[in-house]
Amino acid sequence: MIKNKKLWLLILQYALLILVALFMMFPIFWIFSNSLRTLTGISQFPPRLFPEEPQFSNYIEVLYNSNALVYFRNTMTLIVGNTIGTLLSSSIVAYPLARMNFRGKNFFFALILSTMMVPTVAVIIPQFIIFRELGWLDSLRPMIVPSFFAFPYNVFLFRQFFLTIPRSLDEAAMIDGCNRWQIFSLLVVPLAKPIFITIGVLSSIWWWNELFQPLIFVQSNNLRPLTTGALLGFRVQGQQHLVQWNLQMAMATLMIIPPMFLYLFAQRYITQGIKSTGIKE
Amino acid sequence: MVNRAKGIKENLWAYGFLSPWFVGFLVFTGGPIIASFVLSLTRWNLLGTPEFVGLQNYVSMFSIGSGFVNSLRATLIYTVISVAVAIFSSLFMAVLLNFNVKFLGIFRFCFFVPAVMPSVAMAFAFQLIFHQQMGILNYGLSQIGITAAPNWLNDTFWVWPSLGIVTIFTYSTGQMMLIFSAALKEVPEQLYEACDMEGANFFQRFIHVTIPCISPIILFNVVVGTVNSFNSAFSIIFPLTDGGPANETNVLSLELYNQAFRMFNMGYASAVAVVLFLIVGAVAIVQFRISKNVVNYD
Amino acid sequence: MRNLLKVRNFVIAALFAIMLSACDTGTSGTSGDSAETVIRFSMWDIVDETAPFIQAFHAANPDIRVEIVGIPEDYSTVINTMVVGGTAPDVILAWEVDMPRFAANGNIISLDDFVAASDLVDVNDFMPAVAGLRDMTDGLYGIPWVYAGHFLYFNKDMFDAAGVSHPTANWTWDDMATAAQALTIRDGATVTQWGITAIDFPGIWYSLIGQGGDLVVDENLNLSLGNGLRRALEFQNRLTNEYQVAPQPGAGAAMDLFSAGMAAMTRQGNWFVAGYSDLPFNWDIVPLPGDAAVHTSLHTGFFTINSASPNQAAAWRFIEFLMSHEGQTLLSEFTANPSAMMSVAAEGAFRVQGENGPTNWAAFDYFNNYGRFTYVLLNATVTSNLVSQFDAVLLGLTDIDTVINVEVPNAQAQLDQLN
Repeated sequence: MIKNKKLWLLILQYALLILVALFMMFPIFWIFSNSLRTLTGISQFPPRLFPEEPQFSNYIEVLYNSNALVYFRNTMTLIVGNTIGTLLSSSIVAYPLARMNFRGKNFFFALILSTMMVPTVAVIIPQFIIFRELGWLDSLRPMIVPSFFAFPYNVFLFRQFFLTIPRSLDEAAMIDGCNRWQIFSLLVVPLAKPIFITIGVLSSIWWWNELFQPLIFVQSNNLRPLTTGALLGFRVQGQQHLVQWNLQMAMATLMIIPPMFLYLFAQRYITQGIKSTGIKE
Repeated sequence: MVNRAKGIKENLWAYGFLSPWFVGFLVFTGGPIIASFVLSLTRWNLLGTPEFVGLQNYVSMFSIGSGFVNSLRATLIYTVISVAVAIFSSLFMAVLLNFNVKFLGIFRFCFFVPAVMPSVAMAFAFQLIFHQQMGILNYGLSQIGITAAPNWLNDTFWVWPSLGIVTIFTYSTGQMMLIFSAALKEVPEQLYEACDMEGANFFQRFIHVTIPCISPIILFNVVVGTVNSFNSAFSIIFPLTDGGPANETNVLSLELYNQAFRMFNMGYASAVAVVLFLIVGAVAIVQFRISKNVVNYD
Repeated sequence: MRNLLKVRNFVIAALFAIMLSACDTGTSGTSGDSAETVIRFSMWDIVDETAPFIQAFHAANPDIRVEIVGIPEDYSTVINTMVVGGTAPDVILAWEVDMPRFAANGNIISLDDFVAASDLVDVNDFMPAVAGLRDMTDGLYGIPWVYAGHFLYFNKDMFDAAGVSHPTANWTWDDMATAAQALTIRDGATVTQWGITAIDFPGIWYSLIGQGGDLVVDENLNLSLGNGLRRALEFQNRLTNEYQVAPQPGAGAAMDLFSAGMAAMTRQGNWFVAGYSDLPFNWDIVPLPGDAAVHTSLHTGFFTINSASPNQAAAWRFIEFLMSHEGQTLLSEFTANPSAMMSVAAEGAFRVQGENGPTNWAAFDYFNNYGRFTYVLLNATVTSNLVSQFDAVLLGLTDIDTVINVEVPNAQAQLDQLN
């Protein structure tokens, strides 16, 4: 009797899990399925789950006859630049907040926490004007250089991790004659490898997906990253208000594969990073 | 004396470490916030020189025919819907992932992976899924007998449920799911056992044990989700509806983008930025108040 | 410890490399290694350096290299952002609304001296409606590249199958509505073939309004919308909601039902002739049907020279080439738009003949007789926001009176604020 009940429960649980999994994966499947249609096949009614004659040529078209690879290069530039920038600057800024006592520590930390919440869009106009004066518009610089001046959110994540390293290590090193920079770079950084990976991964995903800043700062097609490139780059020749849906979907498929793999291989780090946003453990 | 000198030296080291952030704060956040206040008192199309107009921009925000009040309303609706949907769907998925079954890794992957997808790719998918004539959703509905299916993205009512559905697939939801997932594991087993002794079923256990145990986490997610929604609104709504239909989903961030970078009304757009900033500030204060009890910052 | 220091040095070196490369990708302009001058040229079509008119220019001018700044979507917004941001290209193909503003703000230079010194560009040869735009500026700041108007495209096979006689140049709105009803095929509640597509291009709306009898834009560049707008909205509403022979307008997912073979008629710009050249069914073009008036709104664009450009002489040589007989012919062939220079247009290089259509090239003549520049003289964001209100009427989200009495004055107020 009890065993029977357990079996039913188990079946119910699996059924629910599978149902939700299918639901969550459906948009991804739908992007893929539409990427294999012809442009007129997109508007086929009734819609078929999978096209009868898959058009793999769409991918060739996207890779060879569009700016896809240029967009990809630009996105990679953003990712590499930002990852290096933020890992370097945010870890440096986080160090004293986690491991030193100094005047105004609480004030500065509170300020950093509150700037974490300022939406990009609220400060975009003055930033646009600053970058105009610097002559940096229509380039990738407005999106890379700021990362060398610490992102509050990443500072916060670094600080949370640095707190977990015993402070007695610092004191021992001080007695050995190390200065603060040496303690940071030779002692703390090697011990904090996991958080560097976590932030590197989260930052990469973020820049892979970022839409707003490239929309504002980049106008030339050959400087666009994948997001604005995919959004604006697939128009019908001579009929610019019409979208080449099949090619756009092929592009979207190519765009969803890397984050998928990144998540697959760095799942542990992503999960850790999100969980350490400040929950009491 | 020695100690004091040491203290000064320590302070200097600390400020040295903080210096990248000082510059970043002044140039990219703090400075721009002040500059927005100043710009909001001018009329400027970025060519020529700004013209001082006092509070004119704030007055025209609330004058008849301005889209601003509509944008406030849209922002409020979007925030409520996106936070509510994210909380419920993420908690639901977290509960499923807390089942004592095999292959949970695969399911966790499927549940979370949409969260790391580009929002533009999701927007493409949902534009096709929600299409009135050719979308698979309405085709599915017609197969189960619902022929008067809504024109999802082009109806001032149904566009909100549509955005709600899209919210399930956003980073915000995935993030909440992981946080809930961790929290559910922390619920003491004895409480469940005590509940079982009294013959409670699954739902009673959930209501009487799980919810009370994780309520601080729910609160935390609500506030974080609210702040996130200000950032995510643009990247979801812009590629999906661009503020339509009939400006129904023209949230503040879109209004700001339209005024600033489509019409080059920089003064007015700065006034919108100031209002947005004040709203986020108010939410942030609430967040800090609540966080004190939930979050461990030390 | 040593190793770690090395790693740190490496990271710092890599960091500088990245910053430098980021700077690199951001800049372009004159290349240093040869005497070649690089000029940047922006246009909204999907074009690269292999386009015939670019290749021909390169062949004739080996010392100048043209770099295309392709902006396929939201062109006016993007080019304005570039102008205010100081990153605009040397030669800007500017919209009708932008050219006078750029001129007034000193963003583009006067071309009077260049034209006076040139024997290739004849400014007295322009078609009348285009020539009329010259009064927008004090002096000549832009030269019209080609011009365009709107057509009714129809699927001959569907008309023949339904036994409906083909549209003519004398068609009225009612003729079009009657035909659309005869051409719509339903399977239960589902429409499998639409009589006509929804309006997915803002210009078509303003053509429709002009046919309804409105001026659309008056001589002071104010909106002039009233009874014609009402007639247009009522008519399109009948097609969409009463007869249900046109699908509802959709945000985002714009799909061309005509080329997919799911609609018998569509109203689009004449440049679709090029895009439709490989349609698998027989099709043709006629002037848009008339109502209170016969009308199409016209489009053009102006070659202008950025006042911040260091290569203005080279920029002019590019424009001069494109305005020459050879350049205009190549542009016409490439875009399927007639040259604004009447002598070139008369030769018909714009007639991009597809496999299955069109045959009625005479349809182009009505641009000359009935075409006017209207909404294109106003801010594109304002006019397309207004179109989203027209769409809202069809979607039952607002009513015609609200559009005319509230939304149109709102749009006018926005325009006033921009001036």
